[in-house]
Amino acid sequence: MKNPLMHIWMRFAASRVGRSIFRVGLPRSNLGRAQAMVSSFFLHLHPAKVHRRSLKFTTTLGLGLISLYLFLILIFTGVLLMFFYVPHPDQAYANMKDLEFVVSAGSLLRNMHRWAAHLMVLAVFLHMLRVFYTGAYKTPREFNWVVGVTLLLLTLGLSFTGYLLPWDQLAFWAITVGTNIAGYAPLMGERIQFILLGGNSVDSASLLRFYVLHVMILPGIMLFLLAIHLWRVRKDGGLARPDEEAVTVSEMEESSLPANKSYGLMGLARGCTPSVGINPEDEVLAWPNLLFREMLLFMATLIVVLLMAVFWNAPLEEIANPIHPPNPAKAPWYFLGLQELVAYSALFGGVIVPSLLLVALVALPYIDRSPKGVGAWFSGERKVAITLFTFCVLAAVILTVIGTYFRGPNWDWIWPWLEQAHSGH
Amino acid sequence: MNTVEKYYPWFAALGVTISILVLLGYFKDENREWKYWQREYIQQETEAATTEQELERAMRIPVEIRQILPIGLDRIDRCTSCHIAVEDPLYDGKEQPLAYHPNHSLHPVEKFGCTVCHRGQGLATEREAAHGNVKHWDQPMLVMEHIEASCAKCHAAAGIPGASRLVRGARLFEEQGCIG
Repeated sequence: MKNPLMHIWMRFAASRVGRSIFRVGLPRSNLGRAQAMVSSFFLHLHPAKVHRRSLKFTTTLGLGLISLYLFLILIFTGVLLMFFYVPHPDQAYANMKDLEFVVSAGSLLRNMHRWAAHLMVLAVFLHMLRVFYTGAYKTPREFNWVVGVTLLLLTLGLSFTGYLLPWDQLAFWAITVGTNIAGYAPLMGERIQFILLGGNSVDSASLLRFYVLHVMILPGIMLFLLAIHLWRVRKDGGLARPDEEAVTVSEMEESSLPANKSYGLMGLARGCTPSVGINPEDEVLAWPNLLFREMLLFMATLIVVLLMAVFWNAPLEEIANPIHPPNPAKAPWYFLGLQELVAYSALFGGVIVPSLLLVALVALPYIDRSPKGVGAWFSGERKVAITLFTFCVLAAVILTVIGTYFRGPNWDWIWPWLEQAHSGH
Repeated sequence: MNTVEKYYPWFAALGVTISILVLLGYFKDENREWKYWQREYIQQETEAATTEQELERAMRIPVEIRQILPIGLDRIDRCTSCHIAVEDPLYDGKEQPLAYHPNHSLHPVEKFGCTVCHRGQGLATEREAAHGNVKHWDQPMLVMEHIEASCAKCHAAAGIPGASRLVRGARLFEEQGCIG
């Protein structure tokens, strides 16, 4: 072998120790490539073969995988950050300064964590848009859509709980605003706010429970639902394809098969798994085609996060001061659309409209039962659904942009290119 | 279709980019100002050593973050990470940051720290941030002519030796009826 490292590795893999660890070696035949997926603990979520269409970048833009990779980066950087952080108001802010000035690679770690968090909220949102616009929530993928919406809410929850941890003015007042919005819910609002904060205002109790939620409870639930979400992708027949509907093996009848054959028919596979109705010419082996693409996408995601982390610092304002609110006090950017709505009406804008939208989102696959337009971007057979959804998405984006750039002190309208967005501290 | 070789250029390109970015991040982190000044101090001590013992002591000075946690003052001051010669009278009159603090024994730095008098951002280890001349730090370092303003934190303004400006100001305050 030309490569000496490869030679040493192959010697080890062929040894008794190596063979006891790696039951199936690196694939050298198509059988081996199929086996590599099925026999590996880490890889066996993959099918042995995938549809050719699944490999094309434009099918999904890789957004689901990007969201997953960002989550993994967040877990890795988050655990390392935990070594240097104490969730108490007397120490949290100083710990931020320690990360910036003392801890080796502390700045890089914190920046990576912050930017990956923002990117993940964006990626999850875009992934939802992709799934909608390709009609990939329709039968049999309805429940996976519901799991996905829950994952979106968990992502927002993780980002929100993490937002408080630096305990600076930005954090403190963003969470004050966010929990106040939660408090507007009728009947349960005050109780919900009290449970969130562990009291009547943002204090050491809030910091502690936000920390526990952020590092343990929400990631735990997220990992659990992620496992189900990915499992369902497999079990529902892989990525949605336009020709899925055309191949309905259930329509075949046993009597239509030729009677002059010497072999018997055992049964007809129905449903989505194992892979049913895929033309063998459209299938390719997952090793290396799918797996290597996934690995490259991870590296590309890591590059984006590293680029942002090396060149832009995560913000840190003055230490939290409960008696000095900034004007305006703004929620995190993904809740600014909500805050804008609240500015019009606390109950209607802050509670009723978002709740109705959320219910509509969850119930979407059960309301839109038309089987048309699955697997194709912006299918012409789904004009009404696409129009309605786009309207809602645009409204949400516009409200968020207004809340971010066009609202100044006292939530008055400002033109951002003319005025300062924040009053003095 | 199943060959792995066609992926190698991609892995190489992305792998190299990741390595470059990690190295960039690493060097940005390693290249800290305080390390430069501590090495400068060690260099000067080594050159000024006249005996074997002094030379050995100078060469064994570690390059590390130095911080003071003054008891009862609820702060961490890392100023001595750059101002490492603050307690050394041989550096009296030398150029900052390697300069001796005049009358150091009056308010020894290990007991009082630095920011209780000089203000600034003790937690920081970079010059501008440590001097507090950055956004989101509302206690920048006092300019030297205003340094006596800090004395009144602990001392009654009326009779502080060595703070003639403050004493004069306090007297003016009373004489002109500024109080009440």
